[in-house]
Amino acid sequence: MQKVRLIIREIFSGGFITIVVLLSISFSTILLGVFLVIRDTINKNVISQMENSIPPNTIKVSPKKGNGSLLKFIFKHAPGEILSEETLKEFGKFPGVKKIYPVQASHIPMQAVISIFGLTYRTDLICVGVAYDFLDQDIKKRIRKNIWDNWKNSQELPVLIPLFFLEAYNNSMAEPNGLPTITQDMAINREVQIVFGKSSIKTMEGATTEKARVIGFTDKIRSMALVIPLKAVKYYNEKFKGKSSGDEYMNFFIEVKDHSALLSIVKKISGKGFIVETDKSLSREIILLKNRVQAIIYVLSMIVLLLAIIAVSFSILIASLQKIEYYRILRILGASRLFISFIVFLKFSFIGFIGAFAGVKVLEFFSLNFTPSLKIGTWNIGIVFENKNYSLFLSGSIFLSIIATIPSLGTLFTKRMDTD
Amino acid sequence: MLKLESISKSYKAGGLKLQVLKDISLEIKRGEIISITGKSGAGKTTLLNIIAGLTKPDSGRIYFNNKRLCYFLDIIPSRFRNQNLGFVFQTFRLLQNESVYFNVMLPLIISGWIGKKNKDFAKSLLKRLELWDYRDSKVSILSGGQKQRVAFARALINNPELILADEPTANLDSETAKEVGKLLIEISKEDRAVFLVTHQEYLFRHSHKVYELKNGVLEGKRLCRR
Repeated sequence: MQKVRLIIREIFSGGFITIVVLLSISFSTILLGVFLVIRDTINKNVISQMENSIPPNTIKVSPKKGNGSLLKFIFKHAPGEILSEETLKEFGKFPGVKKIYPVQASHIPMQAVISIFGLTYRTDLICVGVAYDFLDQDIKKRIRKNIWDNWKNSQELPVLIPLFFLEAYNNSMAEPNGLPTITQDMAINREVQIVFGKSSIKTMEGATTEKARVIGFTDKIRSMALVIPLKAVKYYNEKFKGKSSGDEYMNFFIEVKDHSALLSIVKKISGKGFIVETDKSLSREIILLKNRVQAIIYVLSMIVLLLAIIAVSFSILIASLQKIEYYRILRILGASRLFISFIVFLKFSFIGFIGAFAGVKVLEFFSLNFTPSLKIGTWNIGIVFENKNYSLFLSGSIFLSIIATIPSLGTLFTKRMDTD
Repeated sequence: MLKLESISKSYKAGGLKLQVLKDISLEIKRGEIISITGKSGAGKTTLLNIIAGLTKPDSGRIYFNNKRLCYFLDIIPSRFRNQNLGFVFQTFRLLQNESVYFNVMLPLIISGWIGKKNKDFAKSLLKRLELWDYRDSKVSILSGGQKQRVAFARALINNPELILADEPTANLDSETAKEVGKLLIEISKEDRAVFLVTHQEYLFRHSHKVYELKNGVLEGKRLCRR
């Protein structure tokens, strides 16, 4: 009980120099807090915005072309030759994969019949089937996602035309044949007849004509095929070529979480023998830049922390040396080094807590009253005070005070306390 | 009661080894006053610190009531100081901004326990040393003689067997010094020993043994009352 009284007396002693220590801890807390906010602002606005403004490329995966190797005799297909439902599930489990859009090509003869400028054109073509989400931004005439993804036989077929298809017509076909060029506005909402199971060369039994409508243009698939719902392609492939035909894909377009995920996913897929197309070098540059910026921020935060520790250490050292005679008397009268260390630690931990609390309150006051409108360009640099910051700042500052007390204890014990 | 055997202590200063104490052996019995004199820097305070367990000797052994003093853990010599020794200094070493009562009770506060007996003893001690009326006064307002009496009260509060006094009369006028000297003699008669560092001839006359510390060695007995 008596020792507790001594401890309490110690905590509240010191006068002016204790106030100096308190202020130095408060100031350090504010400085660290402001720096953490700047760090978060840079992380949030600079790094994330930079990363988001250059989104990681979608990875295009294609099956390897068969070359008649020995493996083909042993297995049905060599590794990397088939993009199947199974492969789709396997890739979906890779860390960093956000979504996979499978693309299926039609494996049957097809024709399109288009009526334009009073003339009817009939042309052989191929179609690819894709999910709605992959084309979302290219769809001009809005239709419900459900209509695209759950297309049913005999429903009107929504169609997207590849942009090169339009350009090829305008540049190579319209002028030589004396026809007018076609703009996107002219083509949109135009009706098209698509014949499944029939081309100028071959007609299959059960060939069907579907009524289709142009609802947009796309260059995402990077081919000269018409883009229609995946379900429609699967339906006609299975109808004319058998069940297994509906499980084989032409490409996967894999959307990845970020640039670092892109690099690891590309490595994994390439390792499985598939052909991968992406702009890896861009991701590599972005990751490198991000790591450099974060390393600089880390070094700067360490310097700020070190400066704060030095500043607080000096003030605690001065405060401790001012009380050296008191500690000497305690030592002579029988206080152990352990007890004196304990009361000194406790004192400065308590001061650290009060100082940090004051610092946090100052930061909170500024965050509520002054900084919400602070902006650099479009970036809000205001101090955002979250609940987790209280415990972080308080515990951090108490820890800082304890660390900063060590040099003064070292000085007290090694040189001064036991001798005159 | 206290026995020093072949105590040596040296310090390193500027790359040189300074031998402060050389092979010092000494014995103090209950009821004795042992005085040590010597020039400034002769090593008197170092010897006092070694006895108090504040400084570890390079070699040699110290026995207190036939038990060897151990320096292995700081807590052991600290407890030894708190329970067995009383200290009086030339500069008083009191907490100037604290009350007389707090200063006197400080060794008991450090020990962690103050009972009713302790409080009664403190009262009788303060009355005996004519300090009871000043018990709530700050030490800083007291005269030199009163401060030294407070120091004596603090040294006696835990009823120690050995009092270590480092030039207790040096800062006092001759009259007050004589009073303090009388107090020391009184204390030694209360079944406790006094180890005194002093230059006062008056105190030599009341000492059982007087040693001069010269070149790190305790040289002969000069003056002795018995």
